[in-house]
Amino acid sequence: MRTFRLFTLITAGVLGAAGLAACSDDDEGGSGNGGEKIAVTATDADCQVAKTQLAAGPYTFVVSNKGSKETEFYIYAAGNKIKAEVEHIGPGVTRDVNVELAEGGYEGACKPGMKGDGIRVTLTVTGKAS
Amino acid sequence: MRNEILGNYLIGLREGLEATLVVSILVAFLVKSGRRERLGQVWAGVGVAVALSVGFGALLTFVATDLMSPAGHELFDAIASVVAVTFVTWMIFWMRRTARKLSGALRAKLTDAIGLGGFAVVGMAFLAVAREGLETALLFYANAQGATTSPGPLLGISFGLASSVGLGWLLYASAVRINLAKFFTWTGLLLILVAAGILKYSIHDFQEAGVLPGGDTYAFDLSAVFDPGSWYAALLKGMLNITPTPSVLETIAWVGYAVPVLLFFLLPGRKSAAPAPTPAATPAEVPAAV
Repeated sequence: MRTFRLFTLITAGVLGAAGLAACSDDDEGGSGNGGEKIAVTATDADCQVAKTQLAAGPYTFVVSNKGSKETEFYIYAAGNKIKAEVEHIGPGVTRDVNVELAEGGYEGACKPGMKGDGIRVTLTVTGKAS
Repeated sequence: MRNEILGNYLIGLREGLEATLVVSILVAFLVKSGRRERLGQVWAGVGVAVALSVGFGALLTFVATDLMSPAGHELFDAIASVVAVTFVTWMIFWMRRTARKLSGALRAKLTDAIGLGGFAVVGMAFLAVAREGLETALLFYANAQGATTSPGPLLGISFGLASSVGLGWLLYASAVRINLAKFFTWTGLLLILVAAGILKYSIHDFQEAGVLPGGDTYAFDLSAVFDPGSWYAALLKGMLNITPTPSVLETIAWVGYAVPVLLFFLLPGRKSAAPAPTPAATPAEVPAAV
C-alpha cells in the first residue's frame, strides 16, 4: 500500500497546486467584485441583454431564466474565447456573473438546453477602464 | 411554476447522482468485503467535501467576490476529475483482482485479500462529492435567494438532491443482495462507464478552460433524439456524463479509456503486462504487494 499512499500525497499536492494556480488566474478577466449590473433575460428562444454598448470596466451580468429549460450564459471574446460563464441556471432562477471587460467586440450567448452555439448577442466595449 | 419545480428537480437529481453513485458503490464494496469499519471514513470524506462546498458557496454568494475566473474554475474541475478517475480506475482493478480470487477457494481469506486503504476510501468519497459540490452549492444558494419571490426552484432542487440520495441508496441495496463474484464484476463494469464519463467531462472542462482546443468541434449532435431537459437525460448525464453534443476530443477520450479498460477488465488470466494505455499509472500499482 506504500506506493498508493505516496501516490495519494502527490495527487493531493497536485490538486492543491491546481487550486492555487486557478485562483491566481486573474488575467482571464473573470474575477473581481463586479460592477454595474446588467440584466440578461433568457428565454427558450431569446436572449435579451439590457445594455449592449458598454464602456470598458467591471460588470455584473444578472441572468434570469424566464424559460422552461435549464440555460447558461457565456461571454465570448474574439475567437470564441470564454471570458465569463454561468451554467446550470434552472427555470425561474437568477444567477450572477462578474466580468472585467476591456475594449473590444464580444458576444453574449444564452444556451437554453445547455447545448450548441446558443443565441448570440453582440456586445461592443469602448474606451479604457476608468 | 411546474417548469420551475421540474426543471430544477432534474438539475438537483443530476448533480446529486454524480456524487451519490460513486459513494453508494464504495459503501456497497466496503460492506460486501467485510470492511464496515471503514464506513466512518467514507462519511468523513463526504462530510468534509459537503462542508467545504457549502462554506465556499456561502462565501462566494454572500461576500459576492469571485475567487477564480471561469477558466480557473473549469481547470480546477478538470484536474479534480482526472484525479477522481485515477482513484476509480485503481478501484476497478481491485474489483477485477478480487473477482478472480473469489472464483478460487479463497473465500476464507476474503477480508485479508481485500485491503482497501484508508486514504483510498476517504479520497474517493471526498472527490466524488467535491468535484461538483461547489457548483451545486452555488446553485442551491441562488435558488434559495430567489425563494421569497418564487419557491419553486428551491423546492425542485431540494427534492432532486434528496432523490439522488434515494437512488444511491437503492443502488446500494440492490448491489449488496447479489452474490459476491457477480457484485465485483458488475460494479466494476459500472465503474468503468462512470470513470469514462468523468474523464470525458474533464476533457470538456479542459476545453472550456482553454487548455485544450476544440470545444466547439462537435463529434455528433443527438439533441434531436435526446432532449437535454428530460428525466432520462438527467439520469444519463448524472450517472454516466452522457451529453447530446460532445466534442471530438471528449469522444476520443471516452473511447480511449473505456475500450482498453473494459477489455483488460474482461479478458481472463492477464496479469500485470497490461496493454491498456490508461491515463492512470495503475498497471504499476496492481502487482504491488498490498
